[in-house]
Amino acid sequence: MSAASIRCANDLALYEKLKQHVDVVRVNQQIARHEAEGPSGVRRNLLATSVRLTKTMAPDIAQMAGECIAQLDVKLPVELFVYSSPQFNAACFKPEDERLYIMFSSSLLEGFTKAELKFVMGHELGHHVYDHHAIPIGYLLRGQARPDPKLALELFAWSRYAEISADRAGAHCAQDMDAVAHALFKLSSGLTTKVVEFSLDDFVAQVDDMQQVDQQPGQGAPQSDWFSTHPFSPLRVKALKLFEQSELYHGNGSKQQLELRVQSLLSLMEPSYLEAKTDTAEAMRRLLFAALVAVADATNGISEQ
Amino acid sequence: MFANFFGKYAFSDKLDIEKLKATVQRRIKEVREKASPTQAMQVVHDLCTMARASGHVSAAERSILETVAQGLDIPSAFICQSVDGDADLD
Repeated sequence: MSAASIRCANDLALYEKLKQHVDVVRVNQQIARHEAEGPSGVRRNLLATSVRLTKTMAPDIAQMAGECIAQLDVKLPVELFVYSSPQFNAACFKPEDERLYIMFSSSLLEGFTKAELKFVMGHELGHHVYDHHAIPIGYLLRGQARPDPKLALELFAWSRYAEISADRAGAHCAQDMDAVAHALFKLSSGLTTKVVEFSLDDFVAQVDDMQQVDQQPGQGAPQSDWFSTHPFSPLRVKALKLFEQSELYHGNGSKQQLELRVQSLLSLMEPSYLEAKTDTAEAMRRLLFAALVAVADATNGISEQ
Repeated sequence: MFANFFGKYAFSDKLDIEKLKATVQRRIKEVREKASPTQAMQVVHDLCTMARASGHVSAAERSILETVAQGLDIPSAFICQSVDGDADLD
C-alpha cells in the first residue's frame, strides 16, 4: 500500500483547491522569494539548539526512521534531532538544502516504545510526503495580511483532514493499532502507560460515550479539543479506528466507505450549517450573523463602507 | 470583516445594527434549544475565526465572544483557544 493510496480524500481535494487560492499563491511566492535569497536557517538553528541523532549515536532510532522512510517512499535524506523538553512533541520542517528535518522532544524519545515512535515518525513524515508544507497555514493565519474569513475557515477544515492523512501514514508505518492508541494516549495525557493497560477498542468506546453525553443538550463537557491542532483529538482516534476497519489497513471496508464515514465524523467540525436548510442550521446562521455584527460593531462601529 | 464573509451587498443601509444586536440573546436561546453543544461550539469557533481574521481581537470584541459563549454554556477557555491557538500543523 503506497502513501498516496491511503491519503485522506478530503485532504487531497482541499489541498488542491487551496493551493490555487490567490492568497496561498501570493504567500508561497513570498516564501519562494525569501528562500531564493538563501537558506531559511532551519538546519543552522537545529544544529545550534538540538542534538543531531546520527546512526552511531542512536542506531535504533535511525533504523526505525529508515523503515518509515522506506514504507512511505521518502526521497530526500532525513536528519533527526532531539531537543530537551519534558513535553511530548515532534515536528517535521519544510525541506531545506534538499534535506528533511524531524525533531523530537527528549521525553518523547524516552517515553515511547519503538512502535509508538514509528507512529510519530510516520505522522511527521506524512506531512512531508503529502506536501502539506505547500499550504503555509501558519503564515496565512498569523501573517501581517490576514486571509479573508472564508479562506481561514477552509484552512482550518483542510488542516483537520491533513492531520487525518498524517495519522494514517503513522499507522501505516507502525502497523500496530494498539501502539497507535498508546501513542495518542501519551501525547494527550503526558503520561506513560507503565501503570495503565488499555486497548484501542476501549479508548474509542470512551470517545463514543463522550459523544453521546455531548448530544444531550446542557449535559457534558464540550469537546474543546475538537477544534485544536494539538496531537490528541477523539475524532482523530475514531478516524483511525475507521481506517483500521478499511481495506487500506487490514479490514474489509471500501476506501469510498471509509472516506464517507470520516467526512461524516468530521462534519461536526465544519461550517456546513452555513448552507444547510434545517431549523437548527438556520438558528446557527441567525446567531452567527447577529453576533458577527455585534463583534464588528464592538470597537469602531460598522462604517457604510 | 462583515462584507468579506457575507458578501459586498449583504450589508445594506436598511440594516438596523442596534435592533439586530438586541436579538443576539434571543438567537443564543434558539441555538441552545435546537443545536447540540458541539454545534453551538462550531458557531462560537467560527465567530472567533472571523474575529481573528480581521487582525487583532480587541477587548470589546472578545467580550462579545465571551457573552455568546457564556450564553451557550461554552467555557472561556474555548474562546482563548480559538482566538489565540496556534494554527500550525503538529
